[in-house]
Amino acid sequence: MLARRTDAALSGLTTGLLVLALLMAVAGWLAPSSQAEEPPATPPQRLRLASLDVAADVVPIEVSPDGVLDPPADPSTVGWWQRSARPGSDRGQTVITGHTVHTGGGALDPVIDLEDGGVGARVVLTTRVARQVYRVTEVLDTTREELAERSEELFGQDGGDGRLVLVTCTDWNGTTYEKNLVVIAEQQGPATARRRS
Amino acid sequence: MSPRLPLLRTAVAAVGAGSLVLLSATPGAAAAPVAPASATAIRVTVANTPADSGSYEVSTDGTDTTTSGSNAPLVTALGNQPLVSVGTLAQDATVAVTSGQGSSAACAGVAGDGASLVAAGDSFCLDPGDNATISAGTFELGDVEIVRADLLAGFDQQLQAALQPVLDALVPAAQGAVQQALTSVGEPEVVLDLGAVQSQCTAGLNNASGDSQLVDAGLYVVLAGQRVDLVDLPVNPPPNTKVVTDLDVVLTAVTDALETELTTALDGALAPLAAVVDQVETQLNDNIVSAVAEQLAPLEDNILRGTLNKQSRPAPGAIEVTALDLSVLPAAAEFDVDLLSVQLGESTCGPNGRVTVTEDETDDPSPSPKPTPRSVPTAVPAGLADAPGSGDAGDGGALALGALGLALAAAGTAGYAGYRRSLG
Repeated sequence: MLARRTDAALSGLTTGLLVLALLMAVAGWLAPSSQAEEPPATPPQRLRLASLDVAADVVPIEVSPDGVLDPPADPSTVGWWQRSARPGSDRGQTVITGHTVHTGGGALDPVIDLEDGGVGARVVLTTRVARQVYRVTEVLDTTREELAERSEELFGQDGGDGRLVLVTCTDWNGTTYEKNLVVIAEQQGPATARRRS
Repeated sequence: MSPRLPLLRTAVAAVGAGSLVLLSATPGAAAAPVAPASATAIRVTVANTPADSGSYEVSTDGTDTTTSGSNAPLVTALGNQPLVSVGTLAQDATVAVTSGQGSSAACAGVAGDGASLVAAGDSFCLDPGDNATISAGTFELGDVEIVRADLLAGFDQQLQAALQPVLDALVPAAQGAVQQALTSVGEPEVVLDLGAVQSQCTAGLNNASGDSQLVDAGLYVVLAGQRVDLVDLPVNPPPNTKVVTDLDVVLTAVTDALETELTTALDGALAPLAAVVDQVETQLNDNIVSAVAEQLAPLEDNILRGTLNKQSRPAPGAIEVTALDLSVLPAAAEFDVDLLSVQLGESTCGPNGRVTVTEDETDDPSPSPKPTPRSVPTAVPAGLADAPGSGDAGDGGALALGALGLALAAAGTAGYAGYRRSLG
């Protein structure tokens, strides 16, 4: 009697283990590997903010010795501060700036709309080999003095987790822009490799 | 003559000499650079005519940072020459003073279209895109001539006598075959193919280091429209790696083609000697191939010489790195090649020093720290009144317009006040 019960228990255990092994094998086959190799971090080439119909080429720019980060002269493009983090990096911050043009034609003209409910908007940076998605978490309206005071926090590369800092101008007073609009966006997962055509 | 004249002359001479001494001392009084760096993407010398991308040079004396040249050079800077048409040039340099100590970094290189640029720091300048090619020269093989003596070498007296009646026909037949073979091979072109060839360096106070990277780089020769690889260059060569190559493959291609041509070219000319034709034809083939090989012998010498990751230390704490230094050697001159010398990716860093703290004239016990180049942006002027080309220069233009408006308003107010006073 005892032997029969033991046999039945062992038989059930074996069947359970077989089913579990089968399930794990199927799950392993369906689920993407967590060990997938991440593409290398390279300079951004294209910025896309689909919800605002923003799409612009990205070119490298440099800060002047007196601390001015001028966007590219062509307002239809945006500039990536070439000493800031590359998309997909897990350190530093990716700093991108572009012109807002009062009469239109600036790559980042529509970004002003993020001031009202822009948190959560999706931003995508593509590089030669990868694609990094961000979500807007904060939209700041700063005076030039405030920007200078917070420059280390907003643009410094010693800390950070690879977030995107997008800067343009706002607050047109009839003759000039008085403030900066700073959009902070956090990485949504790791960068993914671009498919080569 | 006035007795005062010698005195006057002496005084003028003394003033002149004093001025010269002061002038020569003036440069020494200027602040010396404590951190220099420079970068040059490409230098090329074709037929003793040099051209380059210009150098980008940066230095600081701890207070002021000066730059010269461009860090965004274009291939067009090399002028109108046919050999170099690489897609992307990169040259950048940066210097800094931290805690009074100078540091410098530079990077330079060339790559094909689609390469991305990276600023100087502690890495290379370029992420490769497509491959680019640089022609090291086209070799003309046309000056090969067959003479009667070439044909008769190795034959005994009897056979030489037997060949005499057909020599007048043999020489042009052999020459025709040689030309046919050379035409089929064409004018071989030696080409440097590269994904990216670049160098970088960094230097601190008493140390300097550098490195080079040659991505997907090699030399090949185009023979009859076909690519024949000569040498693949290593990606990360140790400092001062030497590479030489000959064009033996060209000679092999010519002789292979020649032997094919000769089998038919000589048959007709040798018809009168049908009885001994096989023996004679074999010897004649050998003679002609030998004559051609002798005339093309320099192809077997070293035609191209290169140094990879060329490094030198012009001073303690300084380094100069050139990713690839390639020369077409004089042996190639026989083939009407424009002698070429090309240096790709030249970076220099250091020597760096300390900022000298000079005694302040006012004896201020707490002098303000010397400013250093900004590490992060503190201003982002990202607003324009109008797009460029629409007649307004942006914030500056808007400010100017505003100032003009204010001035007009002030003038109007003043005029109105004056008018009111004149009424009163």
